[in-house]
Amino acid sequence: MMITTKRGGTSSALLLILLLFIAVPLGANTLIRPIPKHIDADMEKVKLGKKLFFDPILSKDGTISCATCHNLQEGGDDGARFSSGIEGKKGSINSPTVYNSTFNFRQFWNGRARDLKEQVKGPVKNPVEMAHSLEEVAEKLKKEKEYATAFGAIYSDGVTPENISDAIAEFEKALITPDSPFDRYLRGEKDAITPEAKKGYQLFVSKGCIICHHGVNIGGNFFNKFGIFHDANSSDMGRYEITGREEDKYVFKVPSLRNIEQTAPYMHDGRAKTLRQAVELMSQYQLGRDMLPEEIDAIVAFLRSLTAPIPPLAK
Amino acid sequence: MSKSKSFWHKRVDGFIVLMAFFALVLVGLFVYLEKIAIDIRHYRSYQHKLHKMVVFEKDLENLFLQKFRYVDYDETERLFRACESELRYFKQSELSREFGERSYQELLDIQRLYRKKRDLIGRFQSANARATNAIHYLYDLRNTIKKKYPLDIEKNRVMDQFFFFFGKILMDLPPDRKLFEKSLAELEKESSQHKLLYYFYSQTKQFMADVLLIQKIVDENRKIKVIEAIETLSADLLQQYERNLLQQKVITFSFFAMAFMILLLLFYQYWRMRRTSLELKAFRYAIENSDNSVVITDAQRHILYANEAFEQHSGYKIDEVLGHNPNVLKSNMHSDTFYKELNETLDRGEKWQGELINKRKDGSLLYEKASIVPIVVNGELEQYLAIKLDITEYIEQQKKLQQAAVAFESIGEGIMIMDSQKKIIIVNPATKQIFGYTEEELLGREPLLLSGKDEAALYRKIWDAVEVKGKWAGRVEGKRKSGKRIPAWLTIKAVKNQEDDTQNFVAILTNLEEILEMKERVSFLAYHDNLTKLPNRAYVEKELVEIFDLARVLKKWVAFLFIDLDRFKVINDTLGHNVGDQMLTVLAGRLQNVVRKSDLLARFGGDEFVVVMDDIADREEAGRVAAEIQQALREPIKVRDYHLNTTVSIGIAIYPEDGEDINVIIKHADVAMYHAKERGKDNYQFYSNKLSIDMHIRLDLEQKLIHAIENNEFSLVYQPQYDLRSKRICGAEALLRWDSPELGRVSPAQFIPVAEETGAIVAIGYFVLREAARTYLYWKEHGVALDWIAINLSSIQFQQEDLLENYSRIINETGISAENLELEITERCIMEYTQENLSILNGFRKMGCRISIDDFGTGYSSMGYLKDFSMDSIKIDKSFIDHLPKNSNNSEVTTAIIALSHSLEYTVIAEGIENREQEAFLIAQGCDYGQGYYFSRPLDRDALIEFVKAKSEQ
Repeated sequence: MMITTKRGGTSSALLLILLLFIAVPLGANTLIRPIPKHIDADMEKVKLGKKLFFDPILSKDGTISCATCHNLQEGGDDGARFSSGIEGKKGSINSPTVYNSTFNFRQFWNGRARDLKEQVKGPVKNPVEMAHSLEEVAEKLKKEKEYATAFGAIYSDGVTPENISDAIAEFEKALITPDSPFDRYLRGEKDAITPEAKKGYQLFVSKGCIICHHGVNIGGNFFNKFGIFHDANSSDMGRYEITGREEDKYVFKVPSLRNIEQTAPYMHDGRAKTLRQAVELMSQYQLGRDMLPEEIDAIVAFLRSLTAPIPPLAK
Repeated sequence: MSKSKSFWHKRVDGFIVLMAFFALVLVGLFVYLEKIAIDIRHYRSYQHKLHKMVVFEKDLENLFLQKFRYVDYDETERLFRACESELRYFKQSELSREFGERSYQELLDIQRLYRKKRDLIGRFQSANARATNAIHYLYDLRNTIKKKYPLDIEKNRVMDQFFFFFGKILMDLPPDRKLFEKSLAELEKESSQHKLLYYFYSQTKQFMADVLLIQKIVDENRKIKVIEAIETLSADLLQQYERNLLQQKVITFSFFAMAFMILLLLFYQYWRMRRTSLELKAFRYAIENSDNSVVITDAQRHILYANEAFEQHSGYKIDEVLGHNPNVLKSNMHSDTFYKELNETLDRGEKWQGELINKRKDGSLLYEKASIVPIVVNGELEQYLAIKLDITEYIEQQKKLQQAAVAFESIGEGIMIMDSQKKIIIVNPATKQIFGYTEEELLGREPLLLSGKDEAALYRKIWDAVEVKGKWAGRVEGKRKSGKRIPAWLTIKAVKNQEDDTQNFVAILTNLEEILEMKERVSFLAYHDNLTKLPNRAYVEKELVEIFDLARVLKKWVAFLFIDLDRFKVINDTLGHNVGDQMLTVLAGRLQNVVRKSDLLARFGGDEFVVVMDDIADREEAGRVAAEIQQALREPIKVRDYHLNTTVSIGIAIYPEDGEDINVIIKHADVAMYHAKERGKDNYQFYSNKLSIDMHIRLDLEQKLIHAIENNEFSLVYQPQYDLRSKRICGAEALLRWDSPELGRVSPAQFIPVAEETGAIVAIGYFVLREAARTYLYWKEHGVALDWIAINLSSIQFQQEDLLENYSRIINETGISAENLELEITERCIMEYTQENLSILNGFRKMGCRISIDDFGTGYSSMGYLKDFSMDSIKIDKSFIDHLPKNSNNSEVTTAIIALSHSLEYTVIAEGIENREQEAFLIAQGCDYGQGYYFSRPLDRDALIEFVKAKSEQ
């Protein structure tokens, strides 16, 4: 008993320390930071990038543009489980939103691109997406007088693959969505979100979602394993396909939750069709715990408060 | 090529090279210092970046201490990006160039470590997120279980047991692995019945796996010593930097040393230049103040410099000649060869020396002794230097000396120069000539050349005066070597130097011998005729005063004979002055033989002689002498090949009967002589009162003449003129007749001179023209068509300005053709020779009139003028014809006139032909026409018609 008591005392002390550990995130108000209202971008490049973004000339047969899969009116993605390429070819991965992608620490689900500029090359080359090469695109653009002039005005070397991706990346960089209700709430507008959403945010933090989804982009700043407590059951091996390390199997970039309401279906393979499903799946797979339906409802309400209006640039 | 090389030689001297080098070194130094500054900046920047990287790295390391805690991975990402940015900076920098390949390799090491680190941190983040969540959830779960089974002590004990493990883990105390595994196995057993316990179990199991993974990652991380690598690089950089710094110090010092050396050299150059400059200043001062004019030109001979002496010598201001060729001074006194030689010498690069005659600005000559030097630097002609000494004064002095020497040599005055000891040092030729001594005999002696009663006293007197007054002048008598005395004027002057000491004596001796002779000769010439050596008119007038005074006292008679040669002028003009002069000389000699020694014979004028006989008994004595004179002179005179006959007309006036005044006597003798002339020459006439009374008659004549034209008292008669050979009547001369109611018929010889004097001759002239024209036309009507009718024109008429107009008008009015009118003009008219007369004559010629010279050979005539006028014929005066052919003088003159006239293509007419012999002579001499009593007297108008008709009938 002595021991027990002693143990009990010790355990009490340990619990106290543990609480201290946990209290830190709960008390912090800076777990999620609002999206800046403005981002520095070269407007000439942005204009050119936007034109390219919407131009199917980038695809081999001229049918697919960036905007085909990244519909700026619909949350910056295509709303399909897997994206379609030229000649109706189906891809094997859910297209992520292009909005706020500049705040991601890497691009693509498996983080194979270090930045947006690198990312641009991916879909163009992908045989099931645009099935093209930037070199060929450059040759095509050179013949377009309008492009040749526009490139000439910005870049001393005119139309080059590098400059094409630079312009598109610059446009994508400018595609940010400030002013979501939650951002407004963070900036001090107490009534910007519903009490339900506020409760959802509390749960989001206390249930541990915040551990992975935090920062400006509410995610998108590190990799983690998909399916910690359950088998991921995914054909895509995630980062393993790049590193070949056993430890990296089913490791993906933690996605951003910004505008999550508009980017269904969810997960890298679009396995969750609704937000509820996604939250449920996350709590089971990642947190290894059950959540009450009302708790899930509150969290979904919070997630909905992350939806921002379409920025003027996208219109 | 060589030119550009020499250019460099010329232009780039050491100073400029040094300056350029100095500038180069300074620029080099500056650039190098700048490079060092950049290096330092780079180095600092590198170190700063490395330092930052260390800070970032420490922040990253910090992450590992944050295990089991919530971490903002945005911040981690930010740190990595910052590190990557620093690394990118290094990779883009020139690190390897500046600090060596090793540094770069170290940098690559750092980059490699970072990559590893990043990977580890990524894994750490995943594991830590899971572990953190597990702790969270386990805590939640424990509370839930406690609530659900508050009384299940065993369950609570197990969970506490695990939380004890968790606490140890969280405090980094190693848990008892065996005990933990045992507890976990127990829990697994228990959890099979309780879902919550199963959760607790699976979470704990996962948590433990993550803890171990984290531990593994942390251990791995310890091996990645990024900071060490960074510090190694930093230390390397420092080391290299210090090495570089040392090297830079050495190089900088070398630059400084070089700059200092150059500065020293520059200073040396400056010192040398200063010395040269001082020398140049001195030279310049010397040149500017030189008496020589110094001119410097460039190679193209444009003046670059001229000194003040040049201004003074040439009269040009320097500004006026700068940039000009020195030949502005050229005087053109030298030949082209001279300049050619000069230029050739200079072109050869040699010095030219010589004398130049230049011209000053004011045009005066400038003599210069010049030397011109071409200045050649490195084989290239750079400039010319001319140094010229103005020797104008010297040259002019030289000239003056030469002139003085000429004067000294050629002057008539004897000049002797003596030294202060009065010894002769120089004598001129005149001295030798005057005294008859040679130069050797005179030099070194005292001049004792005077004669006098007391020579010693004379010399003393002269030298005393010279010593006191510095000068003596006076009349002396010189002594020739031969002993002859010479009248002379002597001037002696002492020549003193600046110190007032006598240096020389100059004696000038004018030989008065010639002057005195000359004086006599002058007085002789003043009173004597040079040709005949007879006394002249002045002498006569002077002598007459005494002669008349004496005669008045002695009550004696003096006869004054005025002798004039008849027609001497003709001889003079036709045969020449020499002949005339010789004739006069001969005549003078004859006259001297005729008159008594006591009589005064003189030549009064050209052909006039005078004889004054004092103490004559009566008039007859004078007449006798006159007759003797006539006789003596009538003898023909042979001059060269000519036998000349001459006669004289003599007028005689007697003192005191014909006047007591000298002028009156001369005038009366003259009147008497003219009377003799009027009486046909070759006779002598005494003066009488009647001759004076004739003058009264003349006055009366004047009065009558004024009215003669109005009263129609003039008429014309016509004397035929004929061809001497064919005897054909060619023309007629109109002769004027005056029949005065009171005076009867008056001879033209009487009234024409009066008419000329009073001007009546003008009106008479018009009358004659009009009348003659009418007559000519009248004859023509009556079948007598002569070639011409001749009328006389007086020289007085020529003074009428409208003469030509009036004659022209009258010719037109009367209707006579001008070709049929011959105008006879007296010689006098032509002799006056005025422009007006000439133009009038030409006017007549233009009208078509024939011009003839009347009375040729009398009075003023000179054959010379004949060739200057355009005329048609010459009329030989009657006086030449009168004595033909007996008088050889006249016949020769006549022949000469005819020959001369023909040579000038004039026709010749002779007037006053009175006999057959005369006509025959004239024909023989080739005379063209004749006129005279022998052929026909003057006839009236109608008589002439009859005469012509009668002749033509013969």
